[in-house]
Amino acid sequence: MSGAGEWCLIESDPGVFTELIKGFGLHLLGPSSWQHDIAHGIRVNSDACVKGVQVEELWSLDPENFENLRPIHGLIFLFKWKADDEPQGSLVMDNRLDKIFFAKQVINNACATQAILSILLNCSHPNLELGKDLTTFKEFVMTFDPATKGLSLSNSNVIRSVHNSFARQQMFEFDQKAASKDDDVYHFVSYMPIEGRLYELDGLKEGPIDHGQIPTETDWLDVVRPILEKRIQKYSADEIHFNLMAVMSDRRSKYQKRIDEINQLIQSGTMETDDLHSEISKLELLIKDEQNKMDRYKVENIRRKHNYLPFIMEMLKILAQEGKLVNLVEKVNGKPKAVQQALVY
Amino acid sequence: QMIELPEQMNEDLSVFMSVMSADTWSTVLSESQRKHLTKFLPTFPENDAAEKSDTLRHLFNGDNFKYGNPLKEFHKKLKGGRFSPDIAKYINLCRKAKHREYKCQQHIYYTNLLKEILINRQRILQTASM
Repeated sequence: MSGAGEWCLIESDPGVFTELIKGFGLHLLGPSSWQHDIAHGIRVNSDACVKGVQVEELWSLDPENFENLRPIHGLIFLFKWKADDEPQGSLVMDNRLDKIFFAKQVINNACATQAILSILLNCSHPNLELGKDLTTFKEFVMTFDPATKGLSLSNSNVIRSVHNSFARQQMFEFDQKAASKDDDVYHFVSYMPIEGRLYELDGLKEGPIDHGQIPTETDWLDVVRPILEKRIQKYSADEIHFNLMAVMSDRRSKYQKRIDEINQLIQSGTMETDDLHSEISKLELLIKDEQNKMDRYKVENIRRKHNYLPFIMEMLKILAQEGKLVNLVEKVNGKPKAVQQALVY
Repeated sequence: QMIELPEQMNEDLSVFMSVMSADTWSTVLSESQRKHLTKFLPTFPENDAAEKSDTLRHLFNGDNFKYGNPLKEFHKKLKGGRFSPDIAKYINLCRKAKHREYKCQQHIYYTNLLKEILINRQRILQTASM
């Protein structure tokens, strides 16, 4: 399609995604509970907005891994290529399409941006408010079919300029050898709850895929987990590298916003300040915790994304060369049986 | 490059993990071998040495890295024959075939998409000009 050249390829790093969201001017309102919590019944102006949704990579599907990141608004799978697969759910072709923002993938390089927009434009979480640009865009395209929505997205100057401000710093972490010699593009699949049902939004499909009702009193993450497990198994079997990312509320800016509000209250001097000061120090501690967690995340990212195959091979090679492998096996398991060959690649 | 491995290592995860262990690392390997192997670990911007030894601990402990532990994942492939020469050859061929099919699918997708977009855009413009 024409215009692809005007969209730069951006990397799949969660940090870049987070900045991308900020670039769209998304606003996050403080939880309504804060408005009730405030002492002495002083009401806080609910127009006050906080910018802040962030994206974090997930390394496991264990419930406790999700726990730290709540509330998660949506999940994004990113991968380089995949064999065509049969959808697990049913394709949505009815009038729900009037309400769900679903765009077909038109410009490949825009896929990271499209993945995020798919979640943001469908998210009805009370804390989340779209900025002016995205609201205007959504209203403009809502009646279009998925292909025209995709075209409009790729023709939107606002969206494109935000996207392009994140020029690619490096290729995807995936398969660097292959990336340099072929022109594979990247695909995404988003998962999110919309009006009590779980949907999968895949820009290469004809429409959203309905994974069914989310039972009341059940967290949508518990419903999506087995579906993700199945996908991850498939990718692992096919040796297709993937990233799984969570779009979630940014806690730090939430806390900072509350501190700013309290400072205003203190300055207005209309109420007892002792409680307010202690709340501020509590919030500052929470911000520090989050900051530490994020610093830790960066280190974890380096550890977890590394390819350990060369290390394992090298260690095996050293042990094998010196004949120590046989001794070691003998020590734990009696006399070694026949010797097998392994191929190093 | 070929390495010969005792069969029990391929068959039994616990044997594999006890060979590829913190114990082997500290008692069997020499100082210079450890130094050489450290080059294959990730590099950290801060506290590099401490983070590297932390990484080794997680690795040998069998802890989760990214949807699995690298050693355990390696063993799963080893047991499945992923590294034996014949099977590796066919797996790679199969991967190439799947990739070619994917390219083909992409081509079909974009050909259809172009038609769809041209028709729909025409329809929308007509509606708008009425």
